[in-house]
Amino acid sequence: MGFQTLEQALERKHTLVFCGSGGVGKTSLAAATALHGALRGKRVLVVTIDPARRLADSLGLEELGNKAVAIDISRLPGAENGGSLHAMMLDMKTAADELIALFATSEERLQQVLHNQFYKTITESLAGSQEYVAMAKMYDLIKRPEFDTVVIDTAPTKYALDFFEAPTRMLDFLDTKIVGRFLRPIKRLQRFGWDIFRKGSEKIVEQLEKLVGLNVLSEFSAFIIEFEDMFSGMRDRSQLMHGCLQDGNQTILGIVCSANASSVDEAIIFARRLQELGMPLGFLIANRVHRSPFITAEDRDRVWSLLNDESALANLAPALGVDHEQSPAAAVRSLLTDASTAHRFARADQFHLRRLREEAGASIPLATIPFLDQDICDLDRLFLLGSFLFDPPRSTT
Amino acid sequence: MALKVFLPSANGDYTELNRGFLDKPLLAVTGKGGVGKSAVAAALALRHARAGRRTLLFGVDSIQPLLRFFECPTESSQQVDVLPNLRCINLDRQLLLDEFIREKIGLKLVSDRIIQNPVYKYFSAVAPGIRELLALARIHQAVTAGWPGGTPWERVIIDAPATGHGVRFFAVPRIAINTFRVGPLKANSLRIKELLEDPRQTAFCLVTLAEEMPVSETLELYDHLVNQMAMRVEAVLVNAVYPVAASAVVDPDPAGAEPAGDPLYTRLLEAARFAQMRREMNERYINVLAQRIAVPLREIPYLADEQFGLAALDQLLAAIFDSPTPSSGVRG
Repeated sequence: MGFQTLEQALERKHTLVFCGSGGVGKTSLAAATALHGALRGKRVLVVTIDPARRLADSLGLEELGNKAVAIDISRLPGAENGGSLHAMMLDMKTAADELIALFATSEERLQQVLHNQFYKTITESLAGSQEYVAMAKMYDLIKRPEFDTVVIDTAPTKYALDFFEAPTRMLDFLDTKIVGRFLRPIKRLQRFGWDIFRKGSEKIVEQLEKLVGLNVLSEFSAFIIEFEDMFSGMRDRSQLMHGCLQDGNQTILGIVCSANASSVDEAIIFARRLQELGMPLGFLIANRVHRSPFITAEDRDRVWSLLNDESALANLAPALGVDHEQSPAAAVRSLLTDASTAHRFARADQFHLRRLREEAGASIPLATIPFLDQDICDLDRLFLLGSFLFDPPRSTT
Repeated sequence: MALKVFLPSANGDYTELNRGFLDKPLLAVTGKGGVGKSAVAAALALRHARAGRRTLLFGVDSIQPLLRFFECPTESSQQVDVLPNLRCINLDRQLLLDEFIREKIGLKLVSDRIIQNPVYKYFSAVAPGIRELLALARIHQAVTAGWPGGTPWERVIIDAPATGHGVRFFAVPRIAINTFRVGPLKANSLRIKELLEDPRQTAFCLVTLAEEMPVSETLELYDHLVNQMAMRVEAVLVNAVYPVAASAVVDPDPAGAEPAGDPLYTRLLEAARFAQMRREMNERYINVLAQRIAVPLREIPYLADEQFGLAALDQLLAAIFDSPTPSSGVRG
């Protein structure tokens, strides 16, 4: 049986957001979910904003751009249901430029912003404002009529929080009257020059100038002024996006983690934070969980006693189908050792999964995905990964 | 006969680590998220501290993972003496910026007004790399001026941010030199850049997993650090390499591989096969790294981390420094 929560989410929700720290397989799971949605007949878009280009790798694509790329799913079961899968990797720089173009009041303003040194550095480095852009861009994608379902793979945890808090922070900033009070002197400054401004004006700007230099501050003020026109548009956008994310009817959020100490720690913190932010956290997925070869304590005891019995080991070789002419006992011992190791790893994983269940919110459904023996690097492996979450696609035709 | 079993030889290849890995005052441990970077940084710091060297271990924005390894309470403290000779400090980038403003302005009234001002808040949130720069400035102070406390630290280790962000972190001084053309930030940037590029003072250690994505990111990171930023990578540590006792060759005929009678036997063989598949995949990517990277590689076995504390750090240290890595013969 599939993971009911996600099965239903694919059926009923429009936006599925996958969060989690880096290296837990979040991108692959988001893509696998999108793939299974497509095989159920949905028109699905999967978006990643993770700077690591993992989704592209998972889908066997050379490179994703800000354009949605169609993935050929025709040879997979369920393709006949008429769904489609598109993938997109958000390039922040391009997304920012597109956004600015959307809100710019004139071509001249647009060019001024695009050539502002401050704007350039900001959009090229990861200094926090990228999350505003990502958020706003997501809104565009969610509203695209050509997709039934949008699956979003967010940036690793800390940055994902920025991503969710971006609209609030931006609104806080835009709301303050003080911004207006600051923009005015800076505006005057643009007209009359720094000297006049500095004589009678705010001590704070003067102090900042000492710290960072005149050119930076003047670029910054130009940036703010050029941006001012666009603020109201961006503000509306922020509010809408925040509303979308919080709307449990349209949106479901999930956290992906591995079953180890640090990943589970981060997942717990993140789960609590999302709940505080009023976000509809709907599922947890523990990825790469070891399976123990021992189902019962008796299995374990049998293997452990065998490991201490040289003649029993040798006798076991034919039953296990082990072929080792010189030392059948040693060969069997090695196999049993590997099995015991797997058991040890599985036990450690279960310890952390219990913590996750208890501390992230006992009411949130948790799915576990086994540790697979290979990387997820093509569509077939992605389908296989998804089959741990979803029932096989049924033909509806 | 269904299953051919080979027992791996005990003597694998073993490359000596460069002296520089341990001898330089500053070591930056970096890599993709989730590869065990913090564990490695903590283990190396532990080794120095035990050898009697005053050691400072920096986390960026969080030291909770580090404190966990030292079995300290992980409440939100910014500075903890975890063991004799070993202190952990959190470089919280926003707090650093506020601190910097206070230091430079001097007058509390004025600096408080600046810090609480929304324009400042916005500026500091969007100003390119300013917070990263101040974190690096603290690291520089620790290496050269014994911050905090005044007595020089013999070793400073950074548990650096994850890859994508990590490259940017260390690239910030270079970018900042062009952005801040005057003032204290410019001067800071130059000093930090010099320290990071000085092969006598700074070493980088990359941590990775032997899997596709971490390896390709590690290759990118290595290329970036070495070829574009003129920094010195001294070691690449491959973490969580799957341990195998047996190297089994499974008969392609599944009917032949099915052991009769006992379902436990089937699961035992599956577990052994799983270990073998993971191990082979790990070996493949270790080969890729070995071919493309010209510094010593060391393998750290996958550790079960139920109680990930000092005992686990000891296991890590043993894997890095003591025993030759057994190889199942895929390499060479």
